[in-house]
Amino acid sequence: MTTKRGSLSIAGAGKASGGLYERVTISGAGRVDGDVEAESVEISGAGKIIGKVKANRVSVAGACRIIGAVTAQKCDAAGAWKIGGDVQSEQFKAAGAGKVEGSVHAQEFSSAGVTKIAKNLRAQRAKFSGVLTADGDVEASEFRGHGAFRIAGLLAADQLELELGERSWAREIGGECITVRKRESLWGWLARWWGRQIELSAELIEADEIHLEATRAKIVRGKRVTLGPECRIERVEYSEFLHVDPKSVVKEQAKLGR
Amino acid sequence: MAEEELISKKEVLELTGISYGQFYRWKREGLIPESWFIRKSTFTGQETFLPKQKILERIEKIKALKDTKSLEEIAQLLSPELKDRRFERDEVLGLGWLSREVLEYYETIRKESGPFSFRELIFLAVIETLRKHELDPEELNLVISTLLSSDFAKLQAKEFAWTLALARKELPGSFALLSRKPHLSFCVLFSQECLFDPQTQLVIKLELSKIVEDVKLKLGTL
Repeated sequence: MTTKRGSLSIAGAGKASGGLYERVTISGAGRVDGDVEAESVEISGAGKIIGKVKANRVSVAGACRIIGAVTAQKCDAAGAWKIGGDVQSEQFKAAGAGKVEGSVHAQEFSSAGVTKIAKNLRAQRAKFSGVLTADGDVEASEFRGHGAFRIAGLLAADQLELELGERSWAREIGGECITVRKRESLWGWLARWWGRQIELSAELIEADEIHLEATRAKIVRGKRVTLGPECRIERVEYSEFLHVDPKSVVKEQAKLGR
Repeated sequence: MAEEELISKKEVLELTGISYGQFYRWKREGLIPESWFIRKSTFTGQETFLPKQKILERIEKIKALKDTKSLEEIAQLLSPELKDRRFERDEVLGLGWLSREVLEYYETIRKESGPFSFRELIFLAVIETLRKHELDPEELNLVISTLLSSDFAKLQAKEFAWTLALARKELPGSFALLSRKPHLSFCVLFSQECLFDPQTQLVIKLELSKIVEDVKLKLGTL
């Protein structure tokens, strides 16, 4: 397109309508009504867009709201943000305390702080520190993180590496190589002192290569299974190798003939 | 119609010998449709089941393709989405899965020859499959006219989860002298399930999704 687009800039308490722009900058308590398509969209302060956003770069900082889906190449969100629809972005960086009320689809996903996703997260590479919550499934080729995650559905990745810092759970965890370690921290020590167990719980954990610590599960199934300390597993099914730490409890175990 | 036989995910892995990693990767890449996963409670808790025949066939297909094609390419071949491509007559014959007879037969109905749309290739594949059954020419016409009058967008919207059935029903009355009892044939195109009265004889039952998949796989070797 060769036509030159105008830019929109709201500072303070302004209002504008959506449309096609070059750059959109909202600072203060600005508000845009309608869908926005632009090269870049930048919101800081308590800005609000009531509509869908499509841009190359989207950056949100502060107590901002986008009431609609976001499609971008690069999307950064920090502060107490909220996106009211799906996010589709090559790169999605979330920080602070944010919420996506739809699904997230990204090549690279990273979250620092507390991020909530109301549906599914699908990424090539996903990493998090802090707390990551998803009410649907989380699927990635690589999933790494430390802190806590709460996933209502399936957590699946080829490579899954987790360092537990708080109580975490997922209904099912599956993939190629799953490693869960418990991280010793002051918080963990304090939590234990309060009588609070820091552990991962899941109904089913299934992978070719499994290393677990501080995990409670109904079924763990894999080729090679290594259970470190503090695991409580009702049933382990393995085909090649099983090691159980003396500080772990396995109620039942079976070698699968494969 | 019998209910689809299910198989647990665990059994799928045992039977096919694929790794856990492969299974989850294929699911993620869309090679195994989300809709096939059925969660059921068993005495050991919740377990995941899949339609047995479909998943075993699908895994065999992926295994056969995975050394020469990327997962993304396989996903495209397996997905029922269509390209707006048109296929020349020679190109279609060159693929070797369609007989000249069927093509010529279709051309007489259509009254022109090539190029064919993907939709037509699917119809051609259906006719080719029907050739193996012994059908009266009227019955074949019945099937073709059903397909031609169907709303293709509707078929596509449900990912071709449609079944094409040809049924026969004998007509009551005293025709004892005739060697073959007169019957009434009819063609039904349905999604999900369809029940016929016990006197109806099902001559043919074809799952369109399978035919679509086959056609795409064969086109993939172009």
